[in-house]
Amino acid sequence: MGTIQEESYFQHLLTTYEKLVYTICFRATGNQFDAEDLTQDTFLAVYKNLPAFDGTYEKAWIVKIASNKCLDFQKSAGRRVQPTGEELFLQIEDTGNSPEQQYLEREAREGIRRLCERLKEPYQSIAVCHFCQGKTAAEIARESGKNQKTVQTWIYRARGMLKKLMREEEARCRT
Amino acid sequence: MQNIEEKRHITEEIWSAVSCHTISFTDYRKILEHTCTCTWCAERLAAEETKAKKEPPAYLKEQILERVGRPDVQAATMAKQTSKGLRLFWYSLRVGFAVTVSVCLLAVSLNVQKTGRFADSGLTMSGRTEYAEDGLWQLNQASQKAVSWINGFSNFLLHGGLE
Repeated sequence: MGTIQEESYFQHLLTTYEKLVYTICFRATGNQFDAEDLTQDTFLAVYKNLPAFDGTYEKAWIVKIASNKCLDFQKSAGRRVQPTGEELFLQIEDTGNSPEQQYLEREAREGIRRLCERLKEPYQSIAVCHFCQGKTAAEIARESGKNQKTVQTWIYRARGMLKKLMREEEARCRT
Repeated sequence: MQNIEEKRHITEEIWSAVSCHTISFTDYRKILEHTCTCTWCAERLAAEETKAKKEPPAYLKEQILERVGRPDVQAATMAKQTSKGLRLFWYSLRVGFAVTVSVCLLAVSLNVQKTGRFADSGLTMSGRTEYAEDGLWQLNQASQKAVSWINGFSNFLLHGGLE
């Protein structure tokens, strides 16, 4: 980018609004993987347009970018993602950390794990480490002794496979 | 539920549904369409969604930082900034040049008036009018030539020397 000031400002925006953007993207798409992609796209747009940003209404500016990205995603060909009844139910949350909420969160994590276990090696172990345990590519590379670029490529491919499996599950739930 | 498109801002009823997560997928999309253009509602959506307990994956932040650090993103951002600066530079050059030529033309026209050719030439009234019109026509032609030259030069600069 340009100055160190802009870099640190971007880091501040990422830290402050990552959860907000992810929540909006997840609500708009209904699944974790698309929400991650859209969150990345949102912050990429934030990064590219930061020099032109005047600093006013910071939160609204980022929300507008996220909204535009979500709408573009939904308008693109063949993407009429509607959360199924099950996913909608998972999004309904209780106030506080009630047992019901904990159960729903556990079920969501188990759902991701079940999908990861349907993949073949080496993608299965990579997917479990990354999507279920939340490890970064660098951490996985360090623990497994593999090249980080290789791990990143496997994660990218595993993500594509999981998205495909998730859409098949959604289609099966609707029928 | 009230129609979102018909109202200037999103109503409290709809915000309540957002807060309770009972809003439909279609209505949420309409909210996003509205917040793209409404700062007030964008701020309100941020306030509502901040209360949500959806945590992003731990690796997401590092992925984003890694992606913005890639050479293609850096190059695209740099090119955007550089081309803006370069365009501003050429624009200011063009404006400065136009101002200089305008001042020169003005000086020339004033000089023509000051030479007092009408008084010494012995021309008749109609002759003086013809001479004045001829002079104005020549001045007009000269200024048009100057303007077209300036436009051609600036287009040449903007296109990097290419036609």
